[in-house]
Amino acid sequence: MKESGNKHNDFYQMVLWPNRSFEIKNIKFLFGILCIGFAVPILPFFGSSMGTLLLIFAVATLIAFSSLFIQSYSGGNLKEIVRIDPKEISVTRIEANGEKISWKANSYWARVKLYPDGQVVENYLTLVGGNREIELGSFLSPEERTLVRIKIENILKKIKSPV
Amino acid sequence: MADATLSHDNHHKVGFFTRWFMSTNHKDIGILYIFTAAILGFISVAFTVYMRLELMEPGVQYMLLDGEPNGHLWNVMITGHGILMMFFVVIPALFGGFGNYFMPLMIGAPDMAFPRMNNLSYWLFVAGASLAVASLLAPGGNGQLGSGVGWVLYAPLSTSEAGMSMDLAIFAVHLSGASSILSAINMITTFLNMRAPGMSMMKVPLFPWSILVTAFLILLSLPVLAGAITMLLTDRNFGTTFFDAAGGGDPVLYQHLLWFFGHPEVYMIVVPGFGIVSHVISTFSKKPIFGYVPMVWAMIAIGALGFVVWAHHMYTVGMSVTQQAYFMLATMVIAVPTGVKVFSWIATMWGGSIEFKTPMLWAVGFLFLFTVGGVTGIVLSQAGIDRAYHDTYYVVAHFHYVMSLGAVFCIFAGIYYWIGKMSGRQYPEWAGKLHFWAMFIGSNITFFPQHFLGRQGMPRRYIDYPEQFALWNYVSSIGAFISFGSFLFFFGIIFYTLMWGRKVEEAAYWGEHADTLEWTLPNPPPEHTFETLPTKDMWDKEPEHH
Repeated sequence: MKESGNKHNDFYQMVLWPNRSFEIKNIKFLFGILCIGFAVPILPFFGSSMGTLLLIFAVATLIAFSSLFIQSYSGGNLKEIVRIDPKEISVTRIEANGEKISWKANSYWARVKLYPDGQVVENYLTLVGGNREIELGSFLSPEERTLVRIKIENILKKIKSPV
Repeated sequence: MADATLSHDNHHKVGFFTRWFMSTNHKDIGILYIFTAAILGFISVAFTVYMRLELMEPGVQYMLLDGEPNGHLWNVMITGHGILMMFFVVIPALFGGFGNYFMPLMIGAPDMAFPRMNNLSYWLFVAGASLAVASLLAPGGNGQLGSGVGWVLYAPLSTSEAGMSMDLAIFAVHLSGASSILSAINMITTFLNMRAPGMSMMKVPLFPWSILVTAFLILLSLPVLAGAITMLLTDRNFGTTFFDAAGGGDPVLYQHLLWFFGHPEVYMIVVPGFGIVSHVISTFSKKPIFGYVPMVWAMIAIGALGFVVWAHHMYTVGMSVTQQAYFMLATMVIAVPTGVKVFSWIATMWGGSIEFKTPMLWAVGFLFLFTVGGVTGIVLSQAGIDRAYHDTYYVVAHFHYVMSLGAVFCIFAGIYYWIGKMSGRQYPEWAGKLHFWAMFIGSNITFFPQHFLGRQGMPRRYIDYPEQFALWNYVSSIGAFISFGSFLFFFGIIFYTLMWGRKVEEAAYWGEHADTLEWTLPNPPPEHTFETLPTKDMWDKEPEHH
């Protein structure tokens, strides 16, 4: 979770994303190891028909691994951006494939709701407004959803009672 | 934007066929791997019983064709036992079975990264195993059924063996390789991308680490095997001469390629076992594992070194002295990380409140037997000594101590450790202990005398032998029958446990030192686990145990 606002404090923004255990900076190390590992048995035969055949299998495996690994990693590119200003609350969900879906409501009437009994997941968090009830941070842990609720509620309270 | 789904119920009951034939659930697929490996293991072990029956006395008594010794049948039995054990029993049980079931649970992942690919991997394994069994029954060399070229499929034997049996065996290995590569990709991706929040690499339990190391070994070495056996296939069927000296090829090159895969294969078999044994020893010594970080690095080092020692399997092919010296030294270096592991397990037990429940017996049995196998490995790593022992029963004894007694003991340790978790029912303790002692005594009686036979000069892979080798062959066969009896008894224990075993309600039924994430779940765990990711207090228990 990352929070931000502008210097006049007239809007508040929070970005939510799912847990990802792999740090992308390590990807060069991962593929470096794989490339060295694949090269060791092929190098002595490089240029021969035997080397070519071994290369085909190694490259096919490397392509399969890299495409699947990157696909899995990209699946975690999901983001939810909550932006609240005195007039409007909006949530923009950016899917892993880059598709954006958004929801808006009047900040004065919007409400944040937490269902602790876990009807879907424990501490299920929703935003109500604009005749819809949308889920928020379903990929977060129950504790994180509680924290998000407290933060959003505090901001909405400030908007409703500006003094 | 997803609307709230407050009344949605996504936990529906699935039917038997859907659950077991179309499953994408890592726990179900893990169980399928274990059961399939058990069936294939039974077939493979039955072959050895038949072989030991034949070797019990000098002369050929049982494997006869028209009253004459049938060497082809003997060779088929040897080949079938090797191929099934190496490709379709031990790795699928440890890596496919326990790896699938427990690796995601231990890192707090809801499932594997690619559940449908997981299903595909399993069915490719079944297809490969079916081809392997079919190759035993298909027309082969010497006008008989099956191929008798040995599991290593050395050229020129494998390129000249008649019939389609050999081709089926090659396709079996191909499918098994494809299955293993897909599984390895799945395991690595799951491990790297899906660990619980806060679980950094050096916080991951040792079993998932062992699966990661194994997955890398598979990913890097199996494409080489796939290439090598594809060349065998084209040599056999399309007139190429990769391994035929008459056409400019070299049969020794096949051996290099095979063993570039074959030596890491040994570690693919045993490294997951290292992971299981670490948890079992820690749980029943009531202490955290000694030297967690060196244990992790030792597994990585064993995996890495495993790739640069392959030619110690082929000292006698005519390599230069320099090459032999290199492979000798590199091989001996493996004893260092292996020693780190063995001494760390002993140090874990040291001063612990040890409880010899069945899984602990198997783990300690493994420790003793694997060390014996490791020490004879160091003996065989000497190129000079290997001249005398090459292709003798000393080698057979060595690798059975490492794999048959080492890896298989790990499988049993894992089954007894986790069966209550997987099934919700517990085995009778006395029965587990009886199984252990029968197997421990039986397998030692089987394989220890084979060191003597090797030292006497008895070559491996022969249907008959002179009178001079009779005594230890007789003893070895008696041991094999005891081991087989214990194996049958094990099937009885499993059947009894699953049908009538005592129900276990307590999640961590082995006590507080069974503290990895699977022990936070009910027995058996629900269909869907960790949909809400586990928090650090659920898995980071170690500080409480110091």
